[in-house]
Amino acid sequence: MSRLMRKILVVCALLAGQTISAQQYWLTIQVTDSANVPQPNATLSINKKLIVVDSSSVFLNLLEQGKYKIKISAVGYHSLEFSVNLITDTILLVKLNTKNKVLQGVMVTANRSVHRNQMSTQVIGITQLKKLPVILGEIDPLKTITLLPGVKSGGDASAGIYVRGGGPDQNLVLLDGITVYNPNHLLGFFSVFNGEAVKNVEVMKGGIPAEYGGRLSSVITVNSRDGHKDSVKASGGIGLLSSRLSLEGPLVKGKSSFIISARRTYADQLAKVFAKDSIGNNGYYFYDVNTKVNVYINKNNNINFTFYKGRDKFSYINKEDIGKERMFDVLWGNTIAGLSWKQQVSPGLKQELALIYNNFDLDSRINFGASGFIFSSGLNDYQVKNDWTYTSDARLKLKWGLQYILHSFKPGAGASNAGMQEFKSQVSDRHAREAAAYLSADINVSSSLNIIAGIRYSYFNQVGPTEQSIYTREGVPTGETEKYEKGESIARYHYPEPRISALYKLENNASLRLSYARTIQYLHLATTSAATFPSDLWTPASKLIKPGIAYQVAAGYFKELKNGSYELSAEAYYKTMSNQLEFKPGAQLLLNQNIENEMIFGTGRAYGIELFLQKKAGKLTGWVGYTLSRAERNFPEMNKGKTFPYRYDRTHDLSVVVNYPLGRKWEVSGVFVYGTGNAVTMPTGRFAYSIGRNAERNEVIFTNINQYDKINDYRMPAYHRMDISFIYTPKPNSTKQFRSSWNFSIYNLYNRYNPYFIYMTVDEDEKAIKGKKVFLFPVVPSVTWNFKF
Amino acid sequence: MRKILYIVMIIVAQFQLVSCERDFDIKIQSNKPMLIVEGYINNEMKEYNYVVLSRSQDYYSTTLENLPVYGAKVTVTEGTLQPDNSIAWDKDNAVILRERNIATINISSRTISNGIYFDERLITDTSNALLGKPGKYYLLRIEVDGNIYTAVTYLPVPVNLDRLSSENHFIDADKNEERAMITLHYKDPDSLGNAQLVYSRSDDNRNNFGWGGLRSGRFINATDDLINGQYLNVVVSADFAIKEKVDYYLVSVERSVYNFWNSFNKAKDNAGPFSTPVMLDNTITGDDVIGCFSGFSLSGKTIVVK
Repeated sequence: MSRLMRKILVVCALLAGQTISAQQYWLTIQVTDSANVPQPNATLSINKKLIVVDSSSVFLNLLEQGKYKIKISAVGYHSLEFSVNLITDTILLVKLNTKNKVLQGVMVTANRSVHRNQMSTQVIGITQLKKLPVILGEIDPLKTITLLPGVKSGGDASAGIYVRGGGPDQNLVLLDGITVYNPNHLLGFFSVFNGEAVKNVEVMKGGIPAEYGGRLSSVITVNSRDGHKDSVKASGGIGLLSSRLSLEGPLVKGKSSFIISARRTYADQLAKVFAKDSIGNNGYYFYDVNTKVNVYINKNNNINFTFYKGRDKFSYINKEDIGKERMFDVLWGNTIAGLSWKQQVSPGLKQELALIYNNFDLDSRINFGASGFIFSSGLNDYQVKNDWTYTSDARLKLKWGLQYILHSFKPGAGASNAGMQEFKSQVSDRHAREAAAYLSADINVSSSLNIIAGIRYSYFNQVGPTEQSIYTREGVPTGETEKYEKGESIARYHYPEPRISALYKLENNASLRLSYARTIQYLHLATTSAATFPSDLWTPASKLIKPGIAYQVAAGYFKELKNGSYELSAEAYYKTMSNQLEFKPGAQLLLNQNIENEMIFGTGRAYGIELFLQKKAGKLTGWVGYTLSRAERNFPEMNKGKTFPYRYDRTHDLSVVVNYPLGRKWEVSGVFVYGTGNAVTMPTGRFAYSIGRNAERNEVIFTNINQYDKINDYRMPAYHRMDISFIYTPKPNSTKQFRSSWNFSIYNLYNRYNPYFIYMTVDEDEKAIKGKKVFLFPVVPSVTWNFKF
Repeated sequence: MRKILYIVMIIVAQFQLVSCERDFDIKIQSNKPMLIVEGYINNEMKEYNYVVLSRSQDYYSTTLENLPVYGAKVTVTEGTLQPDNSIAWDKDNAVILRERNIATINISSRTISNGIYFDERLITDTSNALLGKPGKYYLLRIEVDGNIYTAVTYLPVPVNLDRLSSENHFIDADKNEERAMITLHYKDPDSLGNAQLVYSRSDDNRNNFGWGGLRSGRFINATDDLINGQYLNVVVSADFAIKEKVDYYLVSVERSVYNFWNSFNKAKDNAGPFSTPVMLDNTITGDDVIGCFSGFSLSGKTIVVK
């Protein structure tokens, strides 16, 4: 009991003014780490009944008066066991201590619970993220989640994440609840999330709760760390690609905290010093800054402020090319800010009110000789949302809320500067209002059956002011325009989005789960390429562009083995998607007044089975994930109307992740991935066109044009790769403030040439056409030094 | 797309990674051969009104040039728009185009003379040879192997090219000579929907034949969606030596012809990881056919580069 006392800061605080039935009292448990940072997804056992705390790390329930045995555990922390005699409303603030040898034996796990009724959901904490080998030592939550079944990457240097056959724009990527529209740096090589600032990342592939909406396929929530409330700390890392530094501490000791994390790449600066001749003034860099401030007003009120700003800059200047200067300069990035107020209104009722600002912009300048061109685009969001949770008793928990977003889209403004025709062109800005209300009930029907049923009602209204040119069906402008005044409705949509999931507990720590969800997406990403680019444009639903609609059903079996040391799951899903958008091949997206004429619409279907086996305890930890799946598209105007495989249709997808301590100072982690190659369209013939005759050489001049037949009928070679990393901690038992470790990793250990793309070329010497493959990353070693004080 | 790939390569090189290329055996299925139609009707150059017929071939075929189609029946008929928006075709005066080796245009190779169809009056009665008239419609009819293919094109009123000027001088380090770029000065008509292509002829291609033998202004094919009614001063990216004589043709086209050549430019410059297959915006009606019947309304000017 004395041990318990050391770890429980406050025991038994009486809540005044609550009159509940004589035999029932509120038990509130908040789980934090030793720095008072909340630990969501910790597992509680109350009289051997397992419960998972919510995302704010709080367990709240109305229990009968009596004695309870409580056990609290979380990945990477010592478990706690204690008893509570519940004779009044009680609040327990529980601090979990990290395991002493943090760098040894930390389990590499994708956390979830057999008993949590949220299927198709997995969480990876920062401790795990830091263990896994990544290219150039750059911790990347978005890259890491592609090691989970059902979540696929497009390949090396591809930022797109494809969840259960959905497109890369169908994932709601949230940073502390704020949408991130372009979550990539470096044309997709890395995500915008700085590992130093991240607490965990959660992926919901199906059964999406009613509080989330606006995307069809998944919710990816990245939660940033809270700062230390008691003392100032610093941590950081120096790597080959970038360096990062994080500073955290109290603003008012014990009451408020801040954390600021920044990182920047410096290859551009190194290149100027060491490769000035070859690289010159060309260069690329990105930086980002994450800030979070938590203010604990009192035990019932918290205020959080999150801020992120990131910028990418690419410059290319070439003065040697036939004497004319070529210049390409592009700058892009996200700025997001969110202010939220969390209030415990009463023991059973809490609310969160958030004000959110979101901006993405792109500016580019292109010069060739004396000609120049400027292009800019972007979007702005202003959002307010209010979420409520009410726990009536152990059997019922209600959630409801409202959300309102004001979108402004800047599809593109272009202008030429000196030397060329002076013109300024602007595709009219677009505006839209998006709103949603939801209600969901988490009902313990019996000790074995839990049902979460919810309804979300979403509303979308494209409004003025805007001016749109009217075009004929052939794309010829009629010369007429439609003008809409500020606030005037252009197109309006609204849909109910029912969601339901059920969990049925079986004997022997096993459960069955079912879920159904209808999701609506009102914004589409206008992109023609396989990668995602900063120049890609988010486009709102309009008169012509209908919102995407998806239905997904999933069923799963979950089981824990050997006292929770192993977890096994099997999930099957079936998803249909309508109003899917594609652009005509070679579509002109930039500065196109009539962009909607470049779009075609179709449907999609995806189905598959995901198997997952995880070892959570012991020296060797890790998981094996396997997916057998199919993803298809059907567009009447493509492939002669026949169904064709989605580009990222991956029949087989395998991930193996292991972690093993090699003594006290060394630890090794390894990753192996295998996936069926992407489906691509290859030419089936060719012909000569634009024929002429070169008089001087007396030969025919022509251009060879490729002829295509079936869409995505060719399979790239399978993608597979093994990575390994070693973490070396020189003084694992050091009690000094300053601690450091080294991360040595090798990406693509056996130097597999996974094709980035394949293409055909004419071999002039042999007068033949040959296939070529280009790969980006052969074996890539890296080293990162991490420190903390 | 190549520009994007180039950017990616610079970034990869900057991070001192080694991206590599290897031969790769790409096994692809052969497609059904298509009839390829390349037809032109213009208002200035009679010998540049012709139709080239060929077939598509297997991707790995060792023949890189076109596979001519012989013995087709090819006619061009002029038409006039009627008040009810129908077109009255002057069928009595349909012009028959035939495969001919025409001395005046100095074609000596069989490769281009076979499968290229001209108005034979270019030899016998040059003054009455086929020439397009702005404001008229033209119907192309092709009969080959029992199949019939048709296309209609319109010659818009040509946009007048006011003048050319040579600007943007620079020293070409390789040739060690001063060069300049040409600016085209013209006013876009007030009506929306105009589109132009640009072709040029200079010392290095003066004696070439055919539209494919001219230099095309790849980067300035433009519609007037964003610049309607403006006076334009457009710099073309091609550069020329001082004192070089340069002819420029501003070619006004209807939207479907513009769309075809726009798709053609995208298709010919389409490679790399971010490319998507580009299919040409075909304007020919019939089974298994790709191509365009291009109505070109020309306005030309000549400049000696200063």
